[in-house]
Amino acid sequence: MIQKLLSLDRRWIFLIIAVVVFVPAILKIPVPVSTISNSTQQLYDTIEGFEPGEVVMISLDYGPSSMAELQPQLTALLHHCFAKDLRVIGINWAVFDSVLLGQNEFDRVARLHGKTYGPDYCYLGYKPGGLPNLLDMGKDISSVYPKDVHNKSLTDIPMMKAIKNYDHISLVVDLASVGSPPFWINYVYGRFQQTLALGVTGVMISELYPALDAGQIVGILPGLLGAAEYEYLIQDANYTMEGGDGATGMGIQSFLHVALILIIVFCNIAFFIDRRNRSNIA
Amino acid sequence: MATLGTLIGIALTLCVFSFLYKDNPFYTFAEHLFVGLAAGYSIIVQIEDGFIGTIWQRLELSIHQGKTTEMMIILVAICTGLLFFTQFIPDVSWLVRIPFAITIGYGAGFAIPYTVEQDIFKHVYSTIRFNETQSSLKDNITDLLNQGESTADLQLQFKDSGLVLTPKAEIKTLKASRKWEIRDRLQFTINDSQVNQDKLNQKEMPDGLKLAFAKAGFELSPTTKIKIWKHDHRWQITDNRTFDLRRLNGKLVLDEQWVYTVKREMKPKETQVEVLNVYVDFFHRGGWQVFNMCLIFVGVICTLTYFFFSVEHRGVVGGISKVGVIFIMVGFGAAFGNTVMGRVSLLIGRVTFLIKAIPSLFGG
Repeated sequence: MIQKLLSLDRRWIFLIIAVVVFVPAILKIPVPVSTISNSTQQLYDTIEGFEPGEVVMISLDYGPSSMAELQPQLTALLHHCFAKDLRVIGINWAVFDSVLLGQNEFDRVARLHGKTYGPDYCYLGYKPGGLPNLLDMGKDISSVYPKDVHNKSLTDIPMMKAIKNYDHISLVVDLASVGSPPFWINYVYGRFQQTLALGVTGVMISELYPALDAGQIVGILPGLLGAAEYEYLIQDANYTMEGGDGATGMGIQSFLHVALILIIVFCNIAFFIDRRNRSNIA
Repeated sequence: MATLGTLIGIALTLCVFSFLYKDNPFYTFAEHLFVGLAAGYSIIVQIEDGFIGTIWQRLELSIHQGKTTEMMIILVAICTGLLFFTQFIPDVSWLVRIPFAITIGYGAGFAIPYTVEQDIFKHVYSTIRFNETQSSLKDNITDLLNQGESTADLQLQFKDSGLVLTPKAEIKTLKASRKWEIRDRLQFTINDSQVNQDKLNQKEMPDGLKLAFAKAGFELSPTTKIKIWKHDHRWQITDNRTFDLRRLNGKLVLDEQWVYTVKREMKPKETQVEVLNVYVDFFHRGGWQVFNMCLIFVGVICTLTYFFFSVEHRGVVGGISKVGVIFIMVGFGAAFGNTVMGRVSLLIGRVTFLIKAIPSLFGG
């Protein structure tokens, strides 16, 4: 029996995972957020402390493959910024294939809050160049982005008339699934002392916590969990009534985690029983 | 059109998931389609935004405007870039060293100082900054703020202690993050005669700025230091103070620094005045943070010992390195757990897409 279980076709495990994901997703079983991570709370507190009109720049350094984790973070951040009447700039510093993802979400959330393109927010998109672009934006954003994604000159965008470089930006948030955070930390925080926050995938989070502890960033959203926590915070403050994908995803994830833990425990027990049986035979 | 896009999305998602059963032509098709599309899109973006948008249009503009110097700089950059392709011509392949040397030199020149400062110094400092955790005041102050004392009362106490806050100052306890924060915002005007650029470029407190602070009800202590980040654009004023809150347990000494960060806001040139927002942020570390910092300190020392091979890992060193192994395993475990969570999130993203998209095809 144990032998049979240990040599179980892995496709049965896939099937179990599929059932555990699909059933709560279809039934929409709610799982409440009980605690908020310090890192999420810190980012929320930072934005919460801003005065209307202050500028937040969000860099979308992720592609469609990571949008499941990072897009809910973007949505939650945009709700918070627009509800607080902050002005938002969207860019894609490191990844070019998420321009449409970001642009559409900016437009959608802005519409919900009655914000208009130009005075309240703008989207600058992607420019090849990498590190020099980050450094140049410290001097003059229009030297890197002379035009926005609509091919409109920055001088014709009302909010950009008063925003020349990082000096006029209160916070930069890098939503990343690639190796961009060290660049933002080392060069934009290091050289320009720009207040910085991150939203990253679960895979990257462990290596970036030291930056939070060192004070290089003011907050960090850990994957889908961060998105769910942020959604809870902004809904609790009545900034939005829209249910986010983060909370939905974390609800499903909770069931999946229980299933994974049970599978790991069960397999380990089976492994040790099998080892004992073998040693008894020997 | 949107329906077609959704349909393609659903079909390709199912094609990729079919690999979980076994390799099949549907999966291969989806894989090849993805690679081809990604490569094609990347090439177009690099040509349009990279070459045409960044180089060609600027070159054209400089030629039209007759800016010879700018034109020459762009041409030199283009020629240097083109040298990368000389590696395909054996006779002149040595020329590729020039752009490589420039790229590596530029990259290393920028990377080394900032990486050392931000990746090493900052993190070492954050590991050993026990001076920020030794304060015994935390509980008293947190209690004080948790008692629901009014902001006005607290302001009065702060004033008695030498810190003048404006009526608009916000004092709040950040319970979830185990910290408390005082935020004050002063807005006043300083004209250029009070603070001129020359004075700000010296690393001393300009009298004009001191006066303006005092006028706004903010008396800076004699130990105030000014740090200029970037000429006149932004500067930071650090004021070290000792406070006596005269509360329950007698003298309470705050050992943190009060940091006044001043950011200049852009104003129309003709007004000739600058509006300055002064932010005062004061954070105090909570009990768990003290514990965590101690844990990090012990973890770093033990882990470094494990990787220190100049001494045999026996006796005390062996014990410390064994503790290091535990920290490493916990670190790997946490990283693996986060990775699983991340990957699972991607699966959930696709499943959520399917559940939303399939009914939408039938008008649901």
